[in-house]
Amino acid sequence: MIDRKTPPIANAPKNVAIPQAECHILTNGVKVYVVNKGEVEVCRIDLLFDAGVKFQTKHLVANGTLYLMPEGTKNFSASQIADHLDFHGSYINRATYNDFSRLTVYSLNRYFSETLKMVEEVVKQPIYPNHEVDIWRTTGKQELSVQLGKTNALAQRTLLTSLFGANHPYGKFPVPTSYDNIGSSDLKEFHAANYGSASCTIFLSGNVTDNHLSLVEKHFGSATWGEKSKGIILPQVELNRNESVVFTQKADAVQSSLRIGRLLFPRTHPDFPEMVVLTTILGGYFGSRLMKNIREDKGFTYGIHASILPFTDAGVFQISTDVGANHTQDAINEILFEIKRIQSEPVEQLELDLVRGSLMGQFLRSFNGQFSISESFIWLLYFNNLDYSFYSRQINAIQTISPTRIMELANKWLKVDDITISVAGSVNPNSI
Amino acid sequence: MITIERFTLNNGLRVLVHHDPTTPISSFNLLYNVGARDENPDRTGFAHLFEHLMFGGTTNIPVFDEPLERIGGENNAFTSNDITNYYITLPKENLETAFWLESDRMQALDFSQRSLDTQKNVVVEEFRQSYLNQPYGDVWLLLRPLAYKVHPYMWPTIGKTPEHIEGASLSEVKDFFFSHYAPNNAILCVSGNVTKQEVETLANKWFGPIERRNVTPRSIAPEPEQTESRKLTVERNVPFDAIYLAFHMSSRLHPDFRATDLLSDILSNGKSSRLHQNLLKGKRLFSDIDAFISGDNDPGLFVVTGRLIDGVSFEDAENAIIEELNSLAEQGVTEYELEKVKNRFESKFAFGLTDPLEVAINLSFYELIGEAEEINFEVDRYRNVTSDDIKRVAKTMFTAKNCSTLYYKSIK
Repeated sequence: MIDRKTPPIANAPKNVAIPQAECHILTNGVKVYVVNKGEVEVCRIDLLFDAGVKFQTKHLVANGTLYLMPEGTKNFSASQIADHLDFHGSYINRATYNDFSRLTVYSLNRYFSETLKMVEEVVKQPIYPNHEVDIWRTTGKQELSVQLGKTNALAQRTLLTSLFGANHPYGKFPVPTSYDNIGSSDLKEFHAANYGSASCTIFLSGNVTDNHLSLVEKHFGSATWGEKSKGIILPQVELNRNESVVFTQKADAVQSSLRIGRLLFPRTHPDFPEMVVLTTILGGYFGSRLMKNIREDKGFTYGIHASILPFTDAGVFQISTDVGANHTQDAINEILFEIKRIQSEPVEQLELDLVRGSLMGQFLRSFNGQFSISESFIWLLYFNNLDYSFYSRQINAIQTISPTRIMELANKWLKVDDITISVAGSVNPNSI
Repeated sequence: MITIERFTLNNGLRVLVHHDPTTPISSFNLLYNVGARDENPDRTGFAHLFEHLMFGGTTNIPVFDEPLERIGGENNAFTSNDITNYYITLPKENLETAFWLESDRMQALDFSQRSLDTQKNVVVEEFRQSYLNQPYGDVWLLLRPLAYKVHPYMWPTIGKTPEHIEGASLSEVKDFFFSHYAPNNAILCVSGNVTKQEVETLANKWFGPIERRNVTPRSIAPEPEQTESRKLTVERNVPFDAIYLAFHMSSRLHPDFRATDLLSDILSNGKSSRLHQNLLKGKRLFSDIDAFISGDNDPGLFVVTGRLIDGVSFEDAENAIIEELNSLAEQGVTEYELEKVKNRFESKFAFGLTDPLEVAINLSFYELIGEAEEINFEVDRYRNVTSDDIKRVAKTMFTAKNCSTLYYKSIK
């Protein structure tokens, strides 16, 4: 009979072999980070620009400028561009974040040349035709209305507004009518001011050859283009909250969305690596305290997570979950209970080892495959302007943090008095 | 070219090995040949509820996730109408832990009333989160029973209603386990920096001792041909009207399956696709429009759906969609258009191959419906689809009597 009670001998990974990107500098000064890995003949190029939401002066301008780039350029119509990219099996994704914007293009190697030619046109020569802007306004307006019918979107917005304040770029959000105020000229201006080689960083990953690099040089590196974004000075924010509970009414909701959190620091802060461990203990893996308590023990929710939202100049610690409306108050109580518990009881060795293993696994997985590696580097090198030593600090924190230090951090950064509870749904916890 | 080695244990467990020396992570995928279509119509949502229970621990391993997370592993699962699939990724040195965990819960689950009660609550919350608390979230609860009158695809994997989940008893759970979870009803695929020899040793050690079980033979009555168009209108508190047209299509193994898939791509894959160009941009009838296939193993659904621009009538929206479908049935597609969707398919497929876990999941699935090596020929098979195939499929499928239409009306 085989012994099924004793686990096979296995150890958590102690070290992760961290690859490094090759950094090339194009003639015009644009940096290109290359992660060359993988046998499948495909590649991905990420063009990152200092052109995120914080650079705009009107709602939706950053988003519209990026979104409408492929909707008509000097030499091609929107449908010609779509057709060209689709025909070559290329996928172009666009994302606007608070701090930057990105175009991510997936291409078969054999069509990379054709693809990049069009990407250059799209990035450098968009003309924002009125009728395309109009379509964007109508459809965008509707899709935003649909989003705002979701309790999780409402709770998230309300939390960030409460933490950053309604005048901070991270804390203010568009409503459907915001679309009415945007015209083609707003987008042209934003494009002209922010999409230039001096605001651009490139990541190239996958099965990359010298030919890829010379194409990138040809289309984006030979001469300077466009303007450099003007630096932005963000408003000062109070680290300490001024509201304890914020509620957004959604009358018929059968679940309440909870976003519970506080302002924190960016990844450059010395406490960050250890806060990652603390966050993981609370809600960063399947066996976390919050999952155990609120899902596995109480059955209030399908899932609950704790995380640190990244901003260039800030961070937000948050716990997020959707719970049955009738469990709203109970779930809040249990979450606060778990926060107080981690402040007052040392984490036992067995649990700490478990969290260490889980984090090292997550770490290993974030370097598994060409595109995961590239994605990790975007957030390290570009987003937070950190270097590879950040990873050693993170690994060190995972492996050496003590139970006393965890309590210390929890008391320092997760005081219940500093925490804001955002609830969207049909049950107002203020009224209970 | 993906090379695959295989062997079968004496108890019937089929095992695939894909040697991939480039990754420090091993992927371990265990597919059970059971899905929501194998449920009793009065106890729907069972396969999925069961998936949750599989994480409830056993007498040998009381907490399933812990030993795995402790050594840097991660696991999850999904349930479809056709299959239930469990997967683990972990550092390659620790592969045996995956064998230990998965074989243990195949051998004997620890069914406790407490675990069942909790997971029922969790699944009911999942039902609410995904189907009831989302705008348009209940669409599949409406569309499936409209399109299917006999076949169990009439309910989604979450089940017909939360009451079915709430009513599940411990003895039903046990029956379900022993009649579907068995080595002879599963396919295991291991990929990573590992040899067939190593996998064979581990599989024999951990899965070898599990006895064959009497798996309930599948006897699902096929859905009779639909003979007249079906319509349903519902009113919901959503911001905009939405329309859904569902047509019966061929099964996964039917020679027309790939042509049908490409047909959906011609309609809506990419911004140059017909529906996007003509109806969203040209006529400006929709804020969002999509055509897709359900991809089920038994004959599935071809769905066209759109959210209407405020002020557009259902009739105008529906007629415009039908006009596009008719044009495909009458005029077919150009060679250029066909080449375009084939290129897009190839690209998407190639990117899928860069994810080792996705490869392991796909290999198990291809083995279930035929053989794993098919993964190497899939792009060629799609390449072989002709414009005549597309036209023929469109002509046969896009008829009024083969269609179920749902008007999802906004009350504001």
